[in-house]
Amino acid sequence: MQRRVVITSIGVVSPLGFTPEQIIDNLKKENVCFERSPVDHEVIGTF
Amino acid sequence: MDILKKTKEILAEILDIDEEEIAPETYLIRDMNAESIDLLELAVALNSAFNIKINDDEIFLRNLRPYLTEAKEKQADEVAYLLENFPFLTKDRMTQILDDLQGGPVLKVKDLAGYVAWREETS
Amino acid sequence: MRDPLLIMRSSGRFKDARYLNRGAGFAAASAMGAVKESGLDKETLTQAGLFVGTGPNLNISGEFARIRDGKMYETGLAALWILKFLPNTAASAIARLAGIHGENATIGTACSASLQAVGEAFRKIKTGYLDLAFAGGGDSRLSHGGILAYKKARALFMGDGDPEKAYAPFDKQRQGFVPGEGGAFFLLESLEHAQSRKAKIYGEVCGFGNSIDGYNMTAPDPDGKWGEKAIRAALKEAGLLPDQIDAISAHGTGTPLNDAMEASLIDRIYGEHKPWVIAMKSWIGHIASACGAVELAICLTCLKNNYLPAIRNLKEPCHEKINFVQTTTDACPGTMMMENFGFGGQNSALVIKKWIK
Repeated sequence: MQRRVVITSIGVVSPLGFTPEQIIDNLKKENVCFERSPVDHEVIGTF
Repeated sequence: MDILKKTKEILAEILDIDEEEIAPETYLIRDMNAESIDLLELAVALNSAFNIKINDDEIFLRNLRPYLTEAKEKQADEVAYLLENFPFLTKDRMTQILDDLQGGPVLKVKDLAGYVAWREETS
Repeated sequence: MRDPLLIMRSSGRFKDARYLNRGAGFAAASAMGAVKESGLDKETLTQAGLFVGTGPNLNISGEFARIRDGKMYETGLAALWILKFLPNTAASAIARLAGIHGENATIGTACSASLQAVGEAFRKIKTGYLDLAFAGGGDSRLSHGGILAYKKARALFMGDGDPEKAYAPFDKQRQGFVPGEGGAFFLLESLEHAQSRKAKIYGEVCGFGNSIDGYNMTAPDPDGKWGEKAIRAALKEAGLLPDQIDAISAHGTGTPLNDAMEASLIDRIYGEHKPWVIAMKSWIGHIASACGAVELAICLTCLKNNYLPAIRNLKEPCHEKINFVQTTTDACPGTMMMENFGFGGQNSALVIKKWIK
């Protein structure tokens, strides 16, 4: 049996947002969240 | 330290419910759906909060029913026999428990607080 | 920083949340988001599969017992402390919350894990073992132990200056990766199953490939020979030739070794066709075992919106023959190759297609 497979739901908790709508919006606005970590002052990606 | 208040705080944290929903008369298993792993966490938390030794079998009234069967077999006084095994409960409370057995697991919040107070006194 | 457990609790109480390490928290929060969006009834959920990519809990300062003078101080640790370190705790929590009971696997193939989880779910559905499955992952390496691990391995960006300019995948001046955190989960279904319930379709998964270098414990095989094998396997399963791939979501970690290997690999496979190449880590950081899932969520969004974001901070490309997206474009890619490579020589590749009704 060989069937086609599709994606029908997305759950996301990401630095660019929690929904596809937020993600595209933040991409377009170039909203990124890189900062210095309290740990050792290294650069981290967060939100 | 207010034992009952602290016990309620610990229960609220472990069972992820509001402290206001917990009263001395609240049943752990019947009302708050505590599971075996929650009781495990509870024993660890009470031990660490009050710095007392917790005997899981005693505090959670495990073996209450087998002890009761034993008492019946020996034709002993049931309340007195059970109090020997659960010395932190009062006679009144034990009588109440025996009347309540049909309803399911009998453990209440006030029993935990009673256990802690008893441990603190006897240690 | 947001607490993933708070995000999850916003949709209800969950006492077992205490056993989720931060990465597992992101997995559970995003999985429950996908379950909620799916609107599936209880009975259908019992039949669903579950495929979870996970990494190690490296929170050595917050969740380990103190050991001093041969004594162990365990105050504050849960009775079932072990659950914060078992790889399948996220799966266990998600299954309990959602009522999922089907075939499942927890996959620990480092940074290729969550893409592989999606690939495994795809295969199970394609071959008829399952009609539907949730797949994805969550991770965080922002703890002391996470930072320590990559710093010691010399993989981390250690430079000074503006944090937003730190991460430059495929740039000649790249200096390593910036760690991130997050999670993403998807509901995969057979097309018939999706259509019979009139589900909204985000995209199609067409092919998956997977391999292991057997070369070095951390560094990729510089020839990318086995990474190439995974990509070609994904193409073959999708029934596509390299010149039918419109865009590539590169692993693009920004480490000198990965990007050199990956750029020459892309050149070798696609040659003059030159698909667009994007690198989402430059936007979100490197989310370790969950990077593939989060990047897939972003790429499905980009496919739907005809949008390809520029690789941030890429000024001087490390390879002249690659079509790196340096300026954001409203291109309309129809097919995309997702690539993820992990420590241990783990390679995963997934082909996705835009869904056109």
